[in-house]
Amino acid sequence: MNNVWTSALRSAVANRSRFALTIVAVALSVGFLTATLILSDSLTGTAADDIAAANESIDYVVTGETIFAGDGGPGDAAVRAELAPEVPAQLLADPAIDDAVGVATGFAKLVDDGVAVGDGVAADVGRAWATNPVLNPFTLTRGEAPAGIGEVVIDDGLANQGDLSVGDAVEVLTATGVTEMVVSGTAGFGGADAAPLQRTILFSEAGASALLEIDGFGEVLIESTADPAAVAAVVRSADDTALTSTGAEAIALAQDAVASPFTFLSVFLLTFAGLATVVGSTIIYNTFVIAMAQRKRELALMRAIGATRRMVLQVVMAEALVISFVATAVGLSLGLVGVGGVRSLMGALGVPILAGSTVVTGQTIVLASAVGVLVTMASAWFPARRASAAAPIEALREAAVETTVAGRWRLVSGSALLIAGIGAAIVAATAENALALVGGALVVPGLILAGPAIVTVASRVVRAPLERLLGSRGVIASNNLDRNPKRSSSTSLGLTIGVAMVGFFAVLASSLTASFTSSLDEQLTADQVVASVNPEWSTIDPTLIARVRAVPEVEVASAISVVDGGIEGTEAVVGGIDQQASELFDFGVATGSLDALADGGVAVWSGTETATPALGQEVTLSLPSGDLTVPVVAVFDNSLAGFDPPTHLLDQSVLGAAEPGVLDNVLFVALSDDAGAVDALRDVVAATPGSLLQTADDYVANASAEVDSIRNLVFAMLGLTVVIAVVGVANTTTLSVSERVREIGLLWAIGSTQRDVRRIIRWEAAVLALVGTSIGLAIGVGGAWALIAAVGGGEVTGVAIPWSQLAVLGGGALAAAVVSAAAPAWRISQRPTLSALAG
Amino acid sequence: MTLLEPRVSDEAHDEVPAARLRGATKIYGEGDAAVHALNGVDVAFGRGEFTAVMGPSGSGKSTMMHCAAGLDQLTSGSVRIGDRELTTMNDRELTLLRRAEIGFVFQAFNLIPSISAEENIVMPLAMSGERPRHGVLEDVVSVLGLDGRLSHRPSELSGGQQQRVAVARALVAEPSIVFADEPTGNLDTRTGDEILGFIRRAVDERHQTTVMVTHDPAAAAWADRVVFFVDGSVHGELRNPTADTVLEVMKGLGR
Repeated sequence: MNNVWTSALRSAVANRSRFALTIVAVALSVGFLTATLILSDSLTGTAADDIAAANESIDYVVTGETIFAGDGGPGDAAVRAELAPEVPAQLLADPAIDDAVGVATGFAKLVDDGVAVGDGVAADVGRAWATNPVLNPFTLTRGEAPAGIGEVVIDDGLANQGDLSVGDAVEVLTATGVTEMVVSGTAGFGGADAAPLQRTILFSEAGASALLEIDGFGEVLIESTADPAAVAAVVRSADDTALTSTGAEAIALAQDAVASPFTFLSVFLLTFAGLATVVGSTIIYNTFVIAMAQRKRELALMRAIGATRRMVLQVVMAEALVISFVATAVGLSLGLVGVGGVRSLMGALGVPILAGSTVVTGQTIVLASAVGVLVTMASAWFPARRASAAAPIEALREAAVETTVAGRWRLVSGSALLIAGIGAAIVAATAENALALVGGALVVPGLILAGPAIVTVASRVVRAPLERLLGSRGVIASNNLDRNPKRSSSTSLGLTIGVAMVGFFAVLASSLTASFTSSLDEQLTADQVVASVNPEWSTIDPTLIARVRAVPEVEVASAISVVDGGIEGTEAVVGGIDQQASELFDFGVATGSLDALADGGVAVWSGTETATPALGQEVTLSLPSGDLTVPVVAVFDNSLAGFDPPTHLLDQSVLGAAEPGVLDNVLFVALSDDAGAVDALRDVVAATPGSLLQTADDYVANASAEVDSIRNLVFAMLGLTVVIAVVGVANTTTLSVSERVREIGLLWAIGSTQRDVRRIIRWEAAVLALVGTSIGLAIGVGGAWALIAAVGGGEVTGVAIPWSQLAVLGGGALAAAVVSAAAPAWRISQRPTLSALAG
Repeated sequence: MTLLEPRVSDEAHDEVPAARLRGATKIYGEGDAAVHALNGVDVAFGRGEFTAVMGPSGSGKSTMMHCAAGLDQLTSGSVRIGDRELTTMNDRELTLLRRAEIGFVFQAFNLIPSISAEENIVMPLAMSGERPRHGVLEDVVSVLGLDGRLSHRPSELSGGQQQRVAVARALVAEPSIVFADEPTGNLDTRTGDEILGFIRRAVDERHQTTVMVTHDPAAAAWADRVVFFVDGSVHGELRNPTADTVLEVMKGLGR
């Protein structure tokens, strides 16, 4: 049949109103998928390519032994021991090594006219300029290399953001304080303006050693033509714990390190995209089922005049292909436009996580297009095959409303899966068994299978109340739901999944926020807090605490520093506190005393996953500069807020001695009641870049700001899933109404008003949405509860249910579904009775 | 009853009829709910003959036509189109037979809405990748007065024009038999007569075998012969009918 294509195309165009909702559903799903794929690629931008380009000339890289490997979560980068300062010289002594340059990085922040340059998550890094271009990942773009202590090269990113050029005078904040400098040149990294997620200031050799307080190297870069075994042998003779990687291996590691903090987020985003596709495809499937039912007579006519089953199938599938192309194209453009929207939204929400440019890979386009086309084709295939297999005479007879009855096995297996899933979630929660959580996922297939039975039960439950409310119209509405329970259930399943996801994250986010802030709120007695400009990094000049204490209105002030380390291979966040800390924050000491910290002891938080050691027991903390073995002198219950609160506390002098050059993370300050006390403090803090003065209340609120902003982002994305689901309700209503047009005509003919009919249709949608949202809310809340109980540990202490948010979510989804059903209900009610009766 | 002629045994014809049913039985449902739509029907439709099938609602006339046209399956008995037995054919063979040998005109919903009148007309042939025999399309179109309407969509045509397109479609592939199911049921008398006139012309000029199910004695009067159905069986037949003689017989049937 050579005009299959033309007739498919024409039919798709001629029936565009029928397919409009299908196209919307496909386009939204494809758009969502495209946007998430682009976002997840853009998280790391072109970082991987830049790292490869910048480091390609380096032959070998030597690093210290690994203290904590990192688990890929946000902020859980690997922690490594430092190499001794003499390692480069020792390596150079061997003839196999042509050149060896130690790389040490320290905190260095650029300040221009008293304003810090650059914002966002990127780290402020200072390092020495390597004079050997082979071993320098940076390349001068303008000016010259730094010649003395007073000169720096800044990366092009900093130069652009601060509008700085060669010869400008700047201030640089480092561990030793603020220093006046002159920009001698600017440099690029690989093809980019800056190293990924870093703002780099490059000092001269002398400048780096004077300002960065470096007593070892993070890595040593080697130029050598010798083979890997020979180089490794040389390295071992200098430091037998050091690791040698080839340039290519080091590049791969660096690329992983940049990508790993985002892996979690990427998986997260892609999971949403997957679920949105599931929701979308149930709707797409429904549309085709009903579209087929509407075209039954047309297809039967074709069969009668000699079209084979195959031809009918071909025509329908060709049409579906046309629709899938159009919808996928619309979806791709929606996705591309949407990314821009999401980026600005995230900027507005204060989550500037996308440092790089928007990356649109061919893979994204291919994957999103393939999903769009395949899901549409698969959704069309099953109803098309059923339609083409029907005997033509069946369809030529009076076209009846399609009714289905779900099989018994479906009910039994669905119920079994539901019970198993719920049981697994309960086991996970009560036995704190994370593995059982996986079993909880059985709820989803369970719902898909048992859905029709649930709808049937629901329609029987609502029958009596609806009858009391609406009389016989209520009975009609409730019976209609039960007429095709499979379709009703797949429609409400979309809402269930969307609402469950949003509810799940609402509960999770509010529980996280509650656990973060409640301890801070109750334990913190300071009036004011000086925080680092970025909570993830310590940026406060360590000399600031002395100047703060010198302010007459300050009664008590305490500085806390934080270093990432390890203990027996697990992560340990080591905090340095001073004697005043416990006057401003109640650590809730369970046993022992914090006073003993000054004598070189360690206090251990009771909330860690590992067993709490006994008092007097010696523990070995692995810090980047080396191991520190100290006796346990106290166990405390309350740690500071945030994702990674300190698990071990040392006296600041002990930590400072073990790990020089550490900046302060936060300062707690108690003021006298004098008027102007805050202003006096503000003057001191404002003069020190890298520090931010807040009231204690603001600080407590900001501790959860990170969670809040991520939650808002997640809500924005998941909201789209609910939108897709609501489109599904509109879709099903439109099509099931047009399927029943004669029945509705009959209702009018025997005396129903148009209002009656609209009301019946609205109530059907309302009941369907109610079933979907209430099951969704139950699953979302239950899932979050099981997750928190199973893996929350000490960091998330309890489940806090955000009742008002859940009420808005449930009410909103319900209202949106009912409103979406209003349009088709209105349209049908405008039809003259006789034309409706004629079909 | 005198009007009804004695039924001539089908065996008496030498020529193989265009279509023939023998001992045709069709039962819907089972047990107590079983409905005998056809109760051992023997009927033949001679070549080049225009036969009208009449009978009260539920008499089995439509079921007979559907079974004869390969749209529905008999419970038992035999159906032949020419010398080909339909009851042993599979779905694909039946489909190809309908395409090549049978033309259809239905009461309503005769045309595919999304394609033009011309495309509708040539659809059965296009499905096999064929074109109408030279001159046939032009001939049929001009006889039916459809010139200038060919590029219109069905929705742009009047009911009578749509039905003429349906007749053109049934004729253009030159099938061995055309089945028409109440082709004038939805039309006013004048338009209906036009359609019947066209069918009559096709029978006279092209020797197009035609079987038409109808309720309307005036429509049946256009046929060469009327076969009456009652309760799933053939009750008798009438040759060279007029509206009056048909009405007369029908009154008898209602006794």
